[in-house]
Parts: sequence; C-alpha cells; structure tokens
Amino acid sequence: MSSNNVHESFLVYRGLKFFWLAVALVFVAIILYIWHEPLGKPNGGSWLGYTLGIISAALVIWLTWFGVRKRQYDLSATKLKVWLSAHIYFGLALVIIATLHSGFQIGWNIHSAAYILVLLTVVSGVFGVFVYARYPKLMTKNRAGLSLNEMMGKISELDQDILKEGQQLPEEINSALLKAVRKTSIGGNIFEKLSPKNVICPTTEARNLIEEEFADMTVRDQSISKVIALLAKKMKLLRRARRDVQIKVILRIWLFFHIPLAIGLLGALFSHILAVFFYW
Amino acid sequence: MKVLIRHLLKKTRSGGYAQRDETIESPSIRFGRGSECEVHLTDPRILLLQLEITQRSGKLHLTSQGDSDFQVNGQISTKASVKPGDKIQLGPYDIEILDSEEGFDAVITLEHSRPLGDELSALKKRSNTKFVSLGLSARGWAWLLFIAVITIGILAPLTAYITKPKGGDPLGDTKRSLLADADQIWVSGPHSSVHAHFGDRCETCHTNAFKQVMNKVCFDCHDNAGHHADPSIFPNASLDGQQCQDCHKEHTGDKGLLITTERFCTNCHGEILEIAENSKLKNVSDFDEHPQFHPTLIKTHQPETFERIAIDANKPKPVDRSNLKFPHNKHLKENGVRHPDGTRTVLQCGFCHELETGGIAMQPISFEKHCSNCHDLKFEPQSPNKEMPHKNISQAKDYVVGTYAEFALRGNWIEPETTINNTSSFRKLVGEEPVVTEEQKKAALEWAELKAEEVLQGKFGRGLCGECHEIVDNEKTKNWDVAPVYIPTKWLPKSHFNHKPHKDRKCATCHNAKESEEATDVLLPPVETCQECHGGEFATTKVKSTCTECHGFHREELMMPKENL
Repeated sequence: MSSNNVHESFLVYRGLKFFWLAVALVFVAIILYIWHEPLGKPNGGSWLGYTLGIISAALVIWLTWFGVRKRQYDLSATKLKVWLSAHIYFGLALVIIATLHSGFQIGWNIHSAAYILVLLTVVSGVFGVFVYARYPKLMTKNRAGLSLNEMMGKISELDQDILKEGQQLPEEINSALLKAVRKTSIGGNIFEKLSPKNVICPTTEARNLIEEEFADMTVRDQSISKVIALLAKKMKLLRRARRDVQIKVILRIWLFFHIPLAIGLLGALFSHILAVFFYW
Repeated sequence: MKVLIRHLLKKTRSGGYAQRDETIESPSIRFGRGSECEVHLTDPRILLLQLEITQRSGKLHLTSQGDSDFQVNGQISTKASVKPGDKIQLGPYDIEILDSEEGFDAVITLEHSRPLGDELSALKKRSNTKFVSLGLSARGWAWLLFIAVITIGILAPLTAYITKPKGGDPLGDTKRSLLADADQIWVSGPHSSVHAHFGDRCETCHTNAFKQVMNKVCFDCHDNAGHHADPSIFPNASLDGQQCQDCHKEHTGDKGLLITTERFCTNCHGEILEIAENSKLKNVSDFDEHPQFHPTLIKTHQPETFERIAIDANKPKPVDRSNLKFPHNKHLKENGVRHPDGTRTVLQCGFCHELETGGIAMQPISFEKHCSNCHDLKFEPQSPNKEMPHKNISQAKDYVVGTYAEFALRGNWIEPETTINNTSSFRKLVGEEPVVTEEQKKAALEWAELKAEEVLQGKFGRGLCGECHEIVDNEKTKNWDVAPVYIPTKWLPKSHFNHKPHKDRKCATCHNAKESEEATDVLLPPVETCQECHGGEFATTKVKSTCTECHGFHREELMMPKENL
C-alpha cells in the first residue's frame, strides 16, 4: 500500500506507531503467559488471568468508545485518523490478549460467547479495513469524474434517443425498447445492489433481442445500428452506476455487522464479569 | 371524409388549452406511431398503427388495429361507432368527439394526457441506490443483539438465582423448573468428576452471591482435611486464613482440583531449610533427587521411642528392633523347610504375606495362620494335644500350671526322671490314685506349680518361646518374660505405597528376603530401587511420578480449627 494514498494512511499512521505499540503489548502478554505457571490449568482466575482480563475489558470499552468519538466532530485535538489507526491495531491485539485471558478454554457459556463475539467483531473490523483500503480507489476509478446522479442523467438522455430511434422499428423491438427505458433500474434490494451481475436488466434483454433479430448484419439499417450503439452506451453507463452503488453498499454494510457485534460484545462482557463475581 | 383534429396542447394559466387545429381529408383516418398514419402519435406506447376511424352512413366507426384496444366512455372495445360527446381513451391519449362544424364531417380533440414524463426522475424513482439499512439500522441490530445477550447472560440467570428456594439440600430437590437452570450459562467450565453430581445445582457451593466459595462448604463433606505441617512449629506452613479454593480450582475438569505438579511442593521443599529452619526434612526438587528413604523404626520399647534411619549402603544398616527372631533366608530355602511330620515344603513370600482386600498393604502376620502349622506350642509329651496359647506369656504360663494341676488332681501322671526333690510325701498319690483329702490336694497343687516351673524354665518353656521371641529376665522376680513385640504397620508413615499396581513384579525385585539372616534386617528397598522405574514430573524414559504419587498434602492428625468458618 502506498503512503501517498489518503485512503490507506490510517494503516501506516506515523510510521506504524500504534502497530508497534500493539505488538509490544502482545509481546509482553505472551512472554508473561509463557513464564507464568498458575496452579492447575491456565485460566482467567490467576493473577495474570485477572490482569489480562482487565486489559481486555478496558480495550473493549475503549474500542467501543470509537463509535462515540467518531461522532464528536467538534473535537479536533486528536485527529480521528489517529484514533482509527489505534482502533485497528489495538483491536487486533485484543484477539491475542483475550485468547491468553481465556487460557484456551472454550465451552458453551457466556464467557466463551464474549470471546467468540470478540473474534467476530474483529473479523468484521478487519473486513472493514480491507474494504476501506481497497474500494475508495476503485470507486474513484469507476466514477471517472461522473457522479451517480450525472450517470443517471446521461442514461435518461440515452433513453430518449433510444425511444426516438425505436419509433419506426417493429412492434416487438419497440416494446422491448420501451421496457428497457421504463423498467431498467439501478440498485434495488440489498442483493441486487451487492450483486448487479445477477440482475436481469431489460436494457440488456432489449439489446440481445435486437442482436438476435438482426443477426444478419446486412439487414441492419441505420436506425437499428444506432439503437444498438445507444443500448451499448447505456449498458456501459448502467454497469458503472451499479458498480458505484455496489461499492457504496460494501463500504457501509460491514458496519452492520461490526457495530451490532461490538455492542453485543459489550453486553456479553458485562454478563461475563457479573457471572464471574456473582458465582465467585 | 374531412375531419378537423384539434390538438389540445399545454394547459394555460386560466385553465384553458393552447390548441392547434389540423384538417385531414382522407377516406379513413389512421392513428399510430408510424409516419404513414394521418394522425402521427409520438408516444412510444402507441403502436405503429393503432386505430382507424372511418365514416359509414354519417356515423364515425372506430376500429383498433393490431393487438390493441381503446375505451369509449370507459368501456373497453376494439370496434365501436361513436357520436358527438363520446370520450375515447387511446393509450396515453384522450379523444373527444365534438359537434360537427360546417364543412367538416367530424370535429375531434386530441390530447396527450399521460405523457411518458421526465425520464430522469422516472429512472430515479425506479432505482434504489441508497443503502439505509438491513431490515433494521445498524443501531437497531446493535440494540437487538445487546438486549438478547443481556437477557440470556444476565436477566435469566439472575432470575434463576432469585427464584431458587434458599436453604435445604439443593441436591435433594429433584424436580425443578426450566428457568432454574438458566444460570448454567454462567458455568465457566466442566466440573471435576468427583463434583460432577452437583450438576446444575450451582447453589450447592455458591451459597452467597458475590462471595467466593467458603471453606465451610468444603468442610461440610471434607471434614478431615488437616494442616500440612504443625502450625505451632511451622507457622509459615499454616493453612489458617487460606481458602480451600486458593489451591483447589473447580470448573477446570479434573485438571485443577488436585494439584499434582512437583513445583507446588518444591516451591518450599526445594529449599526447605531456608523456609523452615527447624525442619528435619531434606531438600528435594525432583524424584530423581529424592533423599534416601528413612524408615521410622522403634528405638526403645519402654517407653516407646522411634528413630528414622536411612537405608544407605554406605551407612550402618537400620535395625528393626521387633524383638522377634526370624531368618527369612532359612524359610525361603530353595529345597524348602522341614515339616515336623518329616515332609518338606517350599515356601513362597505369599505363604505368609497376603495383600489386603484393597490391594494396598499386606495383612498382618498371624502365628496361628502362618507359623503354627510347623511351629507347635506343645510342652508335655504325656499330653500331646495341649498347646500353650499364643496370646501372651502369662496366659501361656497359667495354661502350663493348669495342665500339671489337672494331672495332679486326676492322678494319671507317670513320673519321669525329675530334678524335684521334695515330692516323696505325695509321690505315691500322684502316681496312681486320685487325690482325696484337702491336704493331699494342697500337696498336689504345690507339685504342679513346681512341675510347671520346671517345664517353663526348660526347652518347652523358655526354650520354645525363645525360638522366635527375645526373652528377658526380670531381676526382681527372678522370672523370665517375652520381650514386647513391635511390628511396624507403616515403615514410611508420611507416604503411601500401593502394592497392587506393582503385583506383576517379583517380590524380590524390591525385598531382598532370601539373603536376610536376621529379623532385625529392614527389608525395604532403597530409593534407588524405585528410581529404576520411576522418574520425576518431566521424566521421558521412566514412569512420570510427582510428589503426590506417594505423599499426601493434608494431614488428618493436624485438624484445622473449624470455628469462624
């Protein structure tokens, strides 16, 4: 990843300052875990277990606080980018610290539920990092200076031309063109947004129909050729518009997992701590 | 026919229409998208040729073309004749027949009432490009998950705890509601197998919320658990103020409940003198470096005192002062031992040393069971069925006196050669006739006493007992006695040894009895014998054996105070 790309700079903020801090934390924790010899199996109840538990709990609460901090637009003392950089590396460190806290014990209980939620939250976060590192660049490239609104404007201009050119064409073709103009849409439900390739597009259908009807190039008159050209142009724009929608959804949808999982984790963390001390 | 087509265009501000008139003269008037139509309709929803109007006998006839239709005053038709005032809907167009004007066969208005509209806004309306939610907003999902987790993780278990009946025997309550088990989600790990029967009854041990499991709960069953060392001598080994659960970790299966690691012991016993100056123990860090065994042996019998002597080849042999005489080697001769009846019997260890039912230790040796078959306690050839009892020496002596008194009184005694001089007065009586007078009786019993004394001092008395027992002379009474016998039940009382797992080995592997000539030999093996097979916790080529394999931690004789629990 190049450092001159603004979308990636949160990963390499200040010479990977937070990366090295997180590595140091994990390193110390692993060394202590190896050195420590608790009575019986390693568990969260030894002094190291409690220490790692306190660190993990503090990390969870601090990481969750990012959701509050990122809405405090008026606080500029520490840039949000700094927070994000720390959020990512300490979030990854949490996986190791929480694993050591568990002493590698897993069961069907609220304690392991909290641990699993840590893992799921971090995995969704890692996906978010991947998405933020990859898609803004692709989005800019796909847009090539056109906003989605402008793409749609161009599409509707093409639609008018298509209708005009199609007036003199046979009924079947005209109705397909009409359908292409009146039924073609961008986006749709969540699956259509995420997977535009699987959407049945009336514009594509119309083009296929014409290509089929006028497979013999010699019978294509000027208006047929023009309609085909217009449809091709529209399809290209549709692809870009749909890709734009797809990327926008991808850039947001991971948060629909990351945030609820994080808040669920908070609930599981409270339950875990209460359970441990309730039945001490 | 000649028709005036009045195109109604944009609505004006006053509500009227801007209009454009068109005159068409043709046998029929065709409506359609096609350029050959008399009335050219541009809306793409209209067919190339959609409607034809003809005039027959002064009336206007409408005929739809192709696969299309129209509505006359709301009625769907494909063919109709119309009159002035009728309203016709043709796709997005509205047509009205007006009263004829002069010079025209018909006057009709044509309005594009439902145009396709703005393509862009229609496209935007159709399209859904915004991503707002997945059924619920992220916040909605977050709340849902949070509430679900809190319900399962806190509310339900807490309700279970609150609604459980308090007091009584939690294990006695066999029928419980489903809710009562909601606190199972709090269980941090599997029970040890010995506590597995507590199952879902958390309250068996967790009697008070937010309080660690108290010692009292443990002592309810384990009331014999004692101190590890006498706290009055070794105060820093005292368990006062300690919690059972400091060491005994439950909910980690069988791994945490009992600590078996060497480190737990060697933390102190590795350098025991630095921790307990007055300890008599030696440092130990691993079974490979285990100090030599020091069996506890009786030192003096009266009073009973003991000493611990190492079984060390380089040091004086430990002496077992049991006050018995028993040469193991003579009893284990390969050609056997001679039985009084003249036969020979080859003895094995198991002939005398039998395992207890549990298989851990050996049953005690019994004279009657193991010795008397060869070694009888007969003392008088004229009474071959009489044997001294093997209880204690005074009983045995009484028995001998009694036996001769019986002879004296019954009078069937045949006097052999004797050393007793003063028997002349009743010798005749004792010989053949029964005693009759009191005087004779007295004399007879006196004889019996003297006779018994003679026997007891001889080879069937002192000599017979002395074959196996040490005999001591009492200076005051001028009498002899059997020295008190002490056979240890545990040579190494602070450890436990289980014979059963070792039963496939020959006894001689550890106990060199065949070469032992004296009962004073201590036939325990030295620690090196154990170390041939057993190694420490981290042994790789020997049986891994940690301290707890042989040593217990809590000592029953050092009971912990149970007040203030």
